[in-house]
Amino acid sequence: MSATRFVDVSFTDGQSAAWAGALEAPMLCAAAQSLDGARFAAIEAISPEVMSQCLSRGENPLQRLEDIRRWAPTARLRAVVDLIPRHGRFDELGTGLLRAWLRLLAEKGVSEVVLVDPWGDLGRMTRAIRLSKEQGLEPIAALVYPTGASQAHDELAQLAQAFVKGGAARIMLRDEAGLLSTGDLGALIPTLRAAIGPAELDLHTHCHTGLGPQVALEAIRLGIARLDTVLPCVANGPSLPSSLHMSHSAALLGLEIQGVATQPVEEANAALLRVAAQENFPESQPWAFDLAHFMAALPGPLAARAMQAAKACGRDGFHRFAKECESVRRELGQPPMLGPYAEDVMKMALSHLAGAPRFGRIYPSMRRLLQQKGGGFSQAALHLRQRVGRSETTREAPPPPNDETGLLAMMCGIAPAGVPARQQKHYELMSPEEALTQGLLARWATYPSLTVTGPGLHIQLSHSRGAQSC
Amino acid sequence: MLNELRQRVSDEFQRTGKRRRVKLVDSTLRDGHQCLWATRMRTEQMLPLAQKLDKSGFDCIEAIALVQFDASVRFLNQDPFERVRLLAERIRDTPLRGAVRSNLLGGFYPVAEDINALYVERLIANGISELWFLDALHCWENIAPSVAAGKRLGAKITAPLLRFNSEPGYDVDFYISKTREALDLFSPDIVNFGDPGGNLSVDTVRTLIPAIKGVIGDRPLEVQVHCVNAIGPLVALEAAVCGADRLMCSIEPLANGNAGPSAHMLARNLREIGFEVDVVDEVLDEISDYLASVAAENGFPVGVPAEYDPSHLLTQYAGGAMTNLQAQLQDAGIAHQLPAVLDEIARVRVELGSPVMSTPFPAMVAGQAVMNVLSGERYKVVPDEIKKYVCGYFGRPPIPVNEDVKDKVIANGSKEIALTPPEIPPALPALRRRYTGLSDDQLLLRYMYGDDRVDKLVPTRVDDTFSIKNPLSVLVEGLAKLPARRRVHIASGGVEILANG
Repeated sequence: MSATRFVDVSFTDGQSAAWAGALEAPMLCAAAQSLDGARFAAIEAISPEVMSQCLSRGENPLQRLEDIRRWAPTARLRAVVDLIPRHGRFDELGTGLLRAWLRLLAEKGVSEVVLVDPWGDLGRMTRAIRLSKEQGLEPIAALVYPTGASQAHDELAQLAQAFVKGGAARIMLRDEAGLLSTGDLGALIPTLRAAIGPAELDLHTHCHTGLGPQVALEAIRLGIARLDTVLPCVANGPSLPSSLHMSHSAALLGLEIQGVATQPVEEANAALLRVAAQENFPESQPWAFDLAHFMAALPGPLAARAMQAAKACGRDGFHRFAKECESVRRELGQPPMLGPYAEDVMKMALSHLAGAPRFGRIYPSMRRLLQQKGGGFSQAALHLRQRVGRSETTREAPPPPNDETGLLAMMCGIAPAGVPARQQKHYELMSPEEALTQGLLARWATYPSLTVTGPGLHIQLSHSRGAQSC
Repeated sequence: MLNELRQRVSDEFQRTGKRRRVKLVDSTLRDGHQCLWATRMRTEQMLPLAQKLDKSGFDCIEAIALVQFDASVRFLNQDPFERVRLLAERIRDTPLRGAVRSNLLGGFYPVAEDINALYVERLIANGISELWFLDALHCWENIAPSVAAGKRLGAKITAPLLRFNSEPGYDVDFYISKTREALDLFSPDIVNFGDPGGNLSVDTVRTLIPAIKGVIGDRPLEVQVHCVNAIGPLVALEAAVCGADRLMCSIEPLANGNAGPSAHMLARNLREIGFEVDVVDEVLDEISDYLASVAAENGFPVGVPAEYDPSHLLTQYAGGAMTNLQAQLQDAGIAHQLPAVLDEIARVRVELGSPVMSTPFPAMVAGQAVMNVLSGERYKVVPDEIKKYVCGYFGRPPIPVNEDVKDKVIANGSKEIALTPPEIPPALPALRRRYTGLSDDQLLLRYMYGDDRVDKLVPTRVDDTFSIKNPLSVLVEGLAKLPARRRVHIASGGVEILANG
């Protein structure tokens, strides 16, 4: 059993959960440069969620990937690939599209890919593993920790074993909703390790319930190969455990880790903290243990969004929301709480909480779920299945285009024209004085005069009769 | 986990034929502000919420312990007996609980039995109807006279307070044997098991709680956890599922972090897994808003959930004590020494026989740790309390003190301290002669804190107005006081107020 190594996912899941995905590519330049020398096993650079975030603000996701490659030239880069696309324009990535996308990722400097199939479909996973290897990428088969009706550990172990037989040399236990406890882990990890033999077992877990750091340390004790972590400024709460905290705690407990280099990690953290201060990103905080998270079972970034939205419904808003989530999930037949399904469950529960009619609107991915496309099942409530009817056809992904823009557009479910152009942007960090001056200059025209006085500081702006003085 | 908890509660329901009611004990006015506000909540800040607290559905409300006595007199210039009296006048339907800490009063030193008995008597006379009795070394003879006084005066007795310690030696057999001893000695109404350092694990609860329940029979078992190490709320739930009848908690924002679990959260989660819980959530919400406004107005911190940190397993430092230690190092200008002090606390604690880190031992161990860090040579400077501890003044530690350390402490500690604890003669007759004509409350306070401090105590300005102040309401309140004809124009981010314009 070799020492556990850490993977950094601050630029993907970390910032998605802690800062609602607002970390633009230019903002992470300094942090990426520092992380390059921090001895992480890998840095996760891109995921479907980050791609959506980029598009929503006019940022080209491939440029972000290229930038990270340039800023962290020696780090091993990781990407996440959803085998069922979130946009729902087709039911799964076909062989051609998946091969083309994996080739592009490899060309951009990615070395390893986490392959996520919400349904754990063996055929899809085996194909994705094979295609990854063809492109020289190391595949990591995600083993989704169940959030629905209880799934026995031995069933998970059988699936993991099947993935390994399908060619995976690495399995990642993926607990997107942070529901693992040390009790679960103590039984699950040995079972999985026995099932997968010499293949490596990685862990990705979140901290919704406050148990994440304890679970992560227990996983290290049980000998996992890699642990996903984030920088302290985006750690805990809906996000993942902090790499620094895990490093220090593991050392304190005498656990075997191949630790990260503290100074570069602290520098990367400081760089992101400066960005956070300038952009008013929230301070990352742990969340208190609450059974509501087991009812909601939402992945970190969605849990953060739901928590924010439910606040408007009173102090017990999140608890009521979570109960509604549990009810929606039950009526939908306990879909895997990943990708498109989790977001739709969240939106539906929030709408119910706001007083909308129950299942008043069936979202597109929910419709395909009820029609059992992509890997669904027939346990959803009958009234819902009857509403959407049957669908005999599976929507295949079209043949992939040859150009990067077209390929990216197809992966993201948008028209090629909707792909943002590449732009060279530079992010400028300002001193507090510069930020103050910039703020004042942006506002001065609204007021006849503006004065700021502080220790060693006096700024006066006035523009009576069209003149201005500073 | 959720389904498993629900199943276990459901199984119990099937087995017993009745849904179990888990009672909550509120500790906002005792442990909550002790852990988060360094015990600086003033009586006048408590009075407006007292009647609401009385209607919140708690089984018991904790009002005061010796830490509150100390802070009240030393830092707030307030009479703690007056606080108890004023609270009791407002909290009429819910039992009000006071705490007795071993045979110690102010200054952490054992005092005469008659003084302890008088302390118990005055608590009851001022309105306390339940009492709990703590001895962190689990030496029940230390609390026996006080328990006897409480029972004689008709108080409901919570004893013993078993205190969790993860060190070897504090195992199931230890707790069972200590529980049996206490049952034989005191025949208490309630038994309490608590975890001041927040290190209790789910696995330990699964072993210990049923074992203690097995010994205490029909007596209710109360469990107190802290959230210093993130897992407190889960441990509290697990304790309930394992048979705990009462759980201690406090009201947000005086919950989480160094404090205990949130009453809101506990109630919701207990109901979710199938228990009956009596607290009235809407009233808790109102009290929460009030406490948040007190925090905002006074710059008090609010309880923030903690990150799980295994270093707590080594220091086992109690929540309230941690806040006080941070404040004391800050005041002494050595806040930067906190990590070194915490490391040293972990070592000193083990060397001193791993006493449970419950008052007064966190402060004593921390005192020695600070001396060790600052002097550069361990145990070169020995506080008097440590020498007395080593010499058995506080009772016999369940685990022996390291012999080398004991030698150093005895060699370097004050020579004034006898190696064998002297008998403590009754103190009350002399006190009564000295303070002829003074009330027993005054007499006791003067004994505990001296005349100068007691002379400075200021009566509480009684105002029961329950008002939740937010900046906007304060602004409007202020504007309302302006002369009616004055023109007002206030513009700020998103707010514009025009009057008489």
